[in-house]
Order: sequence, then structure tokens, then C-alpha cells
Amino acid sequence: MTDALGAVVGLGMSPVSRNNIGTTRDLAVLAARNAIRDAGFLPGDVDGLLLNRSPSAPVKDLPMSILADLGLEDLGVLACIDAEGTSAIQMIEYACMSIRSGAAKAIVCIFSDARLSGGGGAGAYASTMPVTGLTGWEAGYGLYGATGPYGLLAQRYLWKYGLGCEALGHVAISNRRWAENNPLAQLREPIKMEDYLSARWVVEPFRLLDCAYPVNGAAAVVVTAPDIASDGPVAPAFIHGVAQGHSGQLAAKAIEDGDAGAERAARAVYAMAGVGPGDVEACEFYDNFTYVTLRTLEDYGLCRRGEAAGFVEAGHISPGGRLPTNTGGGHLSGYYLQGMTPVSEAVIQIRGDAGARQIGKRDVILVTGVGGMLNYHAAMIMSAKRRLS
Amino acid sequence: MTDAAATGARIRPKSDFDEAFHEYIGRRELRLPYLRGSSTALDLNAAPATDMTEIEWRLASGLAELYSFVVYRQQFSEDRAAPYNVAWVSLAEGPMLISTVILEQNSELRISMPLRAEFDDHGLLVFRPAQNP
Repeated sequence: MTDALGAVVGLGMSPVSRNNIGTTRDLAVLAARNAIRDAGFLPGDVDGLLLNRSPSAPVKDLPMSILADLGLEDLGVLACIDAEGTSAIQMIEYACMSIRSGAAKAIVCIFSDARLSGGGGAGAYASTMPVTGLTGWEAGYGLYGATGPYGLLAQRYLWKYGLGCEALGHVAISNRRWAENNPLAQLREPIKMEDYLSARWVVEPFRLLDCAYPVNGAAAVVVTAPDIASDGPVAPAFIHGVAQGHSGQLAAKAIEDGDAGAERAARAVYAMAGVGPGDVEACEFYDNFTYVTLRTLEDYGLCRRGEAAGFVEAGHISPGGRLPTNTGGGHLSGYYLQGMTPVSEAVIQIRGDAGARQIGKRDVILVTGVGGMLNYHAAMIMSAKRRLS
Repeated sequence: MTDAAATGARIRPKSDFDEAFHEYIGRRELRLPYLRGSSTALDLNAAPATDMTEIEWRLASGLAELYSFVVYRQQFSEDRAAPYNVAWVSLAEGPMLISTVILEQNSELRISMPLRAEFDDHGLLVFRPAQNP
């Protein structure tokens, strides 16, 4: 039995809201202080800091100089990680590596975002994502936000497997069922398929309930070595595998042939943890859209290609299902903290702090992150156990 | 002498590739990159990594198939009113492009439908449904 790579021993969040509740920097400080306190540490115990902001936010919103706001000094590690939706897991990966190399002993990882000024979210996402590789090409056709590019992938996926839009709806409903019992979730009103189908279109095939729920907010974790972890006031969330996969492959090819980037991340994370897809007991995915949950179930070998929709419709990822997934409501109904949402929920579940939504088995939880148009992938295996048998 | 010249490297920056493609589009010509002597068009995403002096730009047939599409129902930007469609088309020569499909009234988009390229009054490359060959 191999030892864990590291552990999350502190989790902190700022308030989360669609309204203006402070700057990115203010929220980051709140979350980090809460995480440090949660770990039972003082600022002087922290000797590493990793930062991640939203890809569309300027660097100055979350600068390295924030260490002074936190009263941190004499750090052995300080960096901004800028890897889109894979950043949260990458921060934890680099924290584990730094700790194992001796560069630091306790590293705080923060994500913070404060782009919304009240009301809806689309205005903050009116930039374009490259699909063709031709500079400026997509803007000429109004392919704005991530919604359009992911909509293209989803439309093709539904067509390829002969699925109706209800296949996406079942994912949204499952997330909402989990969110009903999550006090942190932003959207907790129960929904049925007719509610999903009557929700307004954003970018067809995506309705409003297919999309992540943008918020202003921050989340932070404290990562340490596993032998330090057990001395703290909270139950550690041990990290047994953490890996990336970036194929550089065209998204279109990825739909037809399987995603080489995700497959690499899956292969590596399972190998590192010494487990396989059949051992996974729960999942916390980067679900920026309903479609991504279907794809991720397949990319990580939890369902065969084209079978995720049936798996979800059968209730297997919902409360009471055999593979609880996005157990806090995910990015869709919970809060869109861009990769820190799945990380935070995994930690809450592993601690046994999830109240009415608490899952039973939590020895092997798969946490994923995606970026680009499914171009970038990261994955992590977390557990309540320091050693996996 | 620049470093590139010193090493004899002939791979040009991506901007040169973009510039060439856009220049043809500005002339209302859809041209695709090929390696000299090759009959396979280069993927537009991958082509900038290719030695530019080995690339020749050949006129595309304009024939394509609808690979996927979305319909923007919500306005994301002030300069573009919804609804409008964005199409992901697979050109007969292989490369894929983002564009839009101009539809007649009462017709609709369906994946795999045949398309033909044209330039609209503003010089924008668009596609229209084509008859099956």
C-alpha cells in the first residue's frame, strides 16, 4: 500500500453571490483566511501560496502581492496557475510536488472571481474561444462565450448517439436534487423535466439549466504532507493521484475517436492511485455544462461511449444512485467557482460534513477539471483513507 | 541576422499563416493549405506549425457538410442580435471551419446536410444548403 501524495487539511470559502460583494482580491483573502483557520494554522505556518483567477480576469485582480494581505512571509513557493478549468487541480498537484520536493510544508491554493455586477452572467462571457485556430475568425460569426463551442460539441454528441435534449435534462435534474440538500448551493428549488424543457434557450442546444451558474466568490484549500495532516483539527482529504492530459487534438476528432487528453489524464490518475474506474465510488466533475458530465463519465471509463445518458437517466449519479456525482449540485446548481467547486465538495464529503446529502462510501472520489473546448484535462483521486488497499 | 535566419529555420509565426488565409478571404477566395505535392489539405489548427515555404494555397471546392451547429437565442454582444446560427462545417477537402448557414424560410439545420460556400454582400464566407450530389 502506498502512502498518499498529500492532503487537503483546510477548506475556506468567501460568501458567494451574483451581486457585488467585494473585489477578487478581497474575496480571495477571506477564503484563504478561512482555510488557514480551518486547518488550525496561523499565517506563520504557511510557506507556500498558489493563485488562480478566471481566464478572462486581468492578472492585477489576483496578484502575487496578495501574500502581504494575508500576512504571509518567507514563502518557499509562490505562483499564479493559469490553466483554465484545470487550474484548481493543477494547484493541488503542484502543491503536492512542492511539498514532496521539500520546497514548502503548507501551501494555500486560492481561486477567486468577481466579474458579475448583479443579475445575469452572459455579459461577462462575451469573448470568443478559438475553434478553427484562425485568429479572430470566430468573432466574425458571433461564436461567443464557452456556451457556443460546448453547444457545438453537445449538438454533435446528441446526434451521434440519437439522443434527445432530455439526455441533458436528466443531468440538470440530478444536480438539482443534490443541491436541494446543500446549504451552499445557489439554486435549490426542485425541478422536473417539464421545468427543464420550459427553461429559456441560451444557445441551442443549451437551455439556461444546462449552464453553470456564475457567481462572485472564492474558495481556498490548504495542502500539506500526509504525515502532518492527521495532527489537524479536521479530517484530512488525502490525495492519491493527480494528473493532467492535454492532447492538442481537435475537439471534433475528440468527439469521434474519444478524447486523448482525458484518456491520458484518466490512465495516469488511476495508475498513480492504484485504482481503476470500477473502484470509483463518487465523482465531482467540472460540469460547466450538462453535456460535460456525460462526456466525463465516458472519458474516465465510468460508462462506455454513448452510454452515459442511459446511465444518468437510470438515476445512477443521483442521490441514492450507485455512483453519486456532483453531490453538491456542481457548477450547474451549486456555485461556479471554476474547478474549486468539485474540489470543495469532495473535501466536504470526505470529512463527512455534507449533512443530508452525505454519501456513504468515500474512499475513492474522482475529481476532474476541463478547459478550452475540452482541450485540457486534469484529474485527482481523493479519499478519506491515507492508504488505499 | 535573426536567430531564425541563423539556424535556417523557415517556420513562420502563426500570424503569417493567419494573414495569408485572411488575405485570400478578403479577395473572396476560400483557399486551403497543402504541402507541395500533397493531395491532403492541412488542418487549419495544425498548419501554422508547418514550414510555410512548403505550403501552397489551393482553391477549395466550396462543398461541405454540416458537422454541428448552435443557435444563439440570447444576445451575448451588443453588435449581434439573436437569434442567429453558428455552424461548424466540414469541408469536402477535410479541414473544418466555423461559419453560418443561410437558410430559406421554413427550412432547418440538420447535422450532415450538404452545404456550399459563398461570400455574402459584405464579403463574409457563408454556407447555403446544397443538393445532395
